[in-house]
Amino acid sequence: MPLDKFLQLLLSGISLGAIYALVALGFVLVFKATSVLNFAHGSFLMLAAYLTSTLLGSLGLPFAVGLLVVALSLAVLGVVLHYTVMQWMVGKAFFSVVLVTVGMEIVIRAVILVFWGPLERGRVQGLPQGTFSVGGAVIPYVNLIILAAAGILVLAFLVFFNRSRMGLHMRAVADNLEAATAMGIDRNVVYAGAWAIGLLLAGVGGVLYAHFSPSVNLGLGVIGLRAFPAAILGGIDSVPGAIVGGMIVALVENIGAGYLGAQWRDVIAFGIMFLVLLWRPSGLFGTKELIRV
Amino acid sequence: MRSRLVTDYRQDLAIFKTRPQKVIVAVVAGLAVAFPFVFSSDFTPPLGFPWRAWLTAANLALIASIGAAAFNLLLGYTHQVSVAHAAFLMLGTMTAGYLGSIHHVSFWVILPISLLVGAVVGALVGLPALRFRGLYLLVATFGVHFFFLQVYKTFQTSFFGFNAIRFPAPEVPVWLAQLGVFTPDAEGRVLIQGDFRWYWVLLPIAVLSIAYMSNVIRLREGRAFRAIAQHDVSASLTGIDVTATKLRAFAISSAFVTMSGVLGSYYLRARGEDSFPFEVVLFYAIMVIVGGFSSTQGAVLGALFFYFFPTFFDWFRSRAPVVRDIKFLQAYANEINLAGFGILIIIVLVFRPGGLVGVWRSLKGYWGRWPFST
Repeated sequence: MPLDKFLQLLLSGISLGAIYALVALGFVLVFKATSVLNFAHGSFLMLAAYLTSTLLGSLGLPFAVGLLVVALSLAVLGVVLHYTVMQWMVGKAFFSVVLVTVGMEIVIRAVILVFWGPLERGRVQGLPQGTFSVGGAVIPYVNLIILAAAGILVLAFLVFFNRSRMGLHMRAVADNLEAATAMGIDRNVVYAGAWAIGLLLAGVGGVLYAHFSPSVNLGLGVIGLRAFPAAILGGIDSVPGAIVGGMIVALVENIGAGYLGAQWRDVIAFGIMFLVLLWRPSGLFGTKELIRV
Repeated sequence: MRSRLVTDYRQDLAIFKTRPQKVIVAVVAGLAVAFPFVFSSDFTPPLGFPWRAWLTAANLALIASIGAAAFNLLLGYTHQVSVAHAAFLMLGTMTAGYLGSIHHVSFWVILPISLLVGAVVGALVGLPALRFRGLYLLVATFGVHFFFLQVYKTFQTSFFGFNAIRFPAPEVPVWLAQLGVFTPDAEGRVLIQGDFRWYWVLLPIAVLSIAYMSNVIRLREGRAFRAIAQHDVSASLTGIDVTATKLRAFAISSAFVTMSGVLGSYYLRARGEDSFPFEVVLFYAIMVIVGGFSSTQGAVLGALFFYFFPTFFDWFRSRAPVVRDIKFLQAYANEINLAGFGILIIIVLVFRPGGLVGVWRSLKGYWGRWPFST
C-alpha cells in the first residue's frame, strides 16, 4: 500500500511543519528586527524541550501551565540576553554578531549538560496519547494538538505583528532604523521585544517538539537549526516565507526520509534549500538584494 | 628610528619589517626548537603540574593552526562565511583512509595528494559562493557539512564496517632514515610515533603551510581577497576577476584544511563515526576569534590557546589548592571548560574584538609610543 505510506508521511509531516514554521518564524523575526542571525536558536528550542521534560514529564504539570511557564521564561531570557549581551553588538560586523550567538549556543549546551546530564530523556506524554486513522494513515491526537497550537500561535503572532503598536514599531525598525528612531521609537525596546517574541516562539516550538520527537536529547539543537533551511528557503526577511518554508522543508524531509531512510534527513532538508537557492538566491519571498557601489 | 618603524615602501613589503620583529621571530624560533627537548624530559614539577602533556597539546595545536589559518584566510580576509570546515577535515580523513589504510600509500605521498583533492573539491564547493552572499552562503555551506557527514558515514561503514578508521604509523623516508640519527626498530623501519617525533614532522609542515598562506595574503592575491571582503562589486570595477579570486580563496583554504585533516587522522591514529560533529567548526571559530580575527598570527595564537588552556585548566581544577576542593568543578569539568570557552567568545567579541593579537598590538603601541602613550 504505497499510497497509505505516503499519506502517513504527509500527515505527520504537516505537524512537523507546524513546529518548523513556529521556530523559523521566531528566527526570522529576530533577524528582521535586529539583523542578528541567531545561531543559538536551535539550542533555545533544546533548552525549552529539556524544561518541558522536567516540568511536564517529571513534575507532571498540566500542559497549558507548562507551556505558559516555559514560553514566558524563554521570553524573559530573550529580554535579559538583549540587555546584557546583544545590546553591545548592535551595528558590529555581521559575522562577529553571529559568533556571539555561537558563544551563547555553547554556553546553553554546557548548562544543559550540567543540569540534565548527557543521557537522553523519553518523549513527554502530557497530552492524550490515543490515535485515530484517516484513509489508512494512523494519526496520534498529539499531532492534531500540535498543529492546532502552532496554528493559533502563528495567527496570534500575525495579528500582533500587523495590528499592534509594538508590531508597527518592529516593522518600522526593520524597514529603516534611522527614520524609526527619529520618529521617537526606542530601538532597544523594539530589539528586546523581538528577542522576547523570537525566543517565545522557539520555546513553544520546544514544548511541542518534546511531545513529538521520540526522545529529548542533545541532538535537538540540530533539529532546531531546521529554522535555517526553512527561513532561507522562504527568504530570510519574509514572515510568510518562514511559514511556507517551514512547511515545505518538513514535508519534503519527512517524505524523503520515509522512503530513503532516516539518516538522509539533514541532507534532504538542506538539499531542498540548496536547490531553491540556486533557482532564487534570495529565497521564495525574500527581498531581492540591490547592490550599489 | 629606521629600526623600529616602517619608513619606506621596500621595507613595508618585506616579511619581517623591523628589527624588533626580527628579534621576536628569532626568539620564537628558538623557543620552538627548544620546546620538545624541554617537555619530553622526565622532569616532574611540583603539585602535579602537567609536563609531557604540553607536548601533546602543542602537536594538536600545530595541526589545528594550519586549519585555523586556512579558515581565517576564507573568513577573515575574504569574508566568505563558510562553515564547511569540518567537511574538509572529513575529506582529508577519507583521503587518508582510502589511500593510506586500504591501499597502503605512503604518508608523504598522501600529503600532496590531499592538498590537490582539497583544492579541487574546495573550488567545487565554492561554486555556489559565486551566487550566494553572506547569510545565504553560511546556510548553504551548513548544508554542505551535513552532506559530507553522510558521505563520510557511508564511506566508513562500507570500507571499515562499524569500527573506527585506523591509520598506520607513517615511516620516516628512507634517505632520512639512513642518516644514522634514528635507531630503527626490530624490522629496520623508523616509524613516526610518540609526541617527540611527531613534533618534528608537524612543526615544519605547519611553518611551511602558514608561511605559504601568509604570503598569499601579503601579495596581490591577498589584496584582491580583501577588496572582495569590502565590496565585491567595487572590487570587480577595479579589475579584479571576482569569480576566479573567490574560487581561488576557497581552493587554497580547503586544500590546507584537507591536509590538516590528514595530519590529524595520522596523529590520532583512529577516526570514528562521531569524530566530526558540527561543534568542530565552532572550535575553529573559537580559535580564530580568540586569537584575533583577520590575522594569521591570531589564528596560530588561537590554536595554541585552544589546546593549552584546557591542559592548564585541567590541572588548575584538579590540583590547585582550594580549587580542588570545590565539588561542583570536579563533577562538571568538561562542561565548565566548554562554557568557559563560550563565555570567552562573547567577552572577546563584545569588549576586545581584536582578540589576543589585538591585546598584543595595543601593548606594543603603548610601549612603542612611550613616554607619549595614553
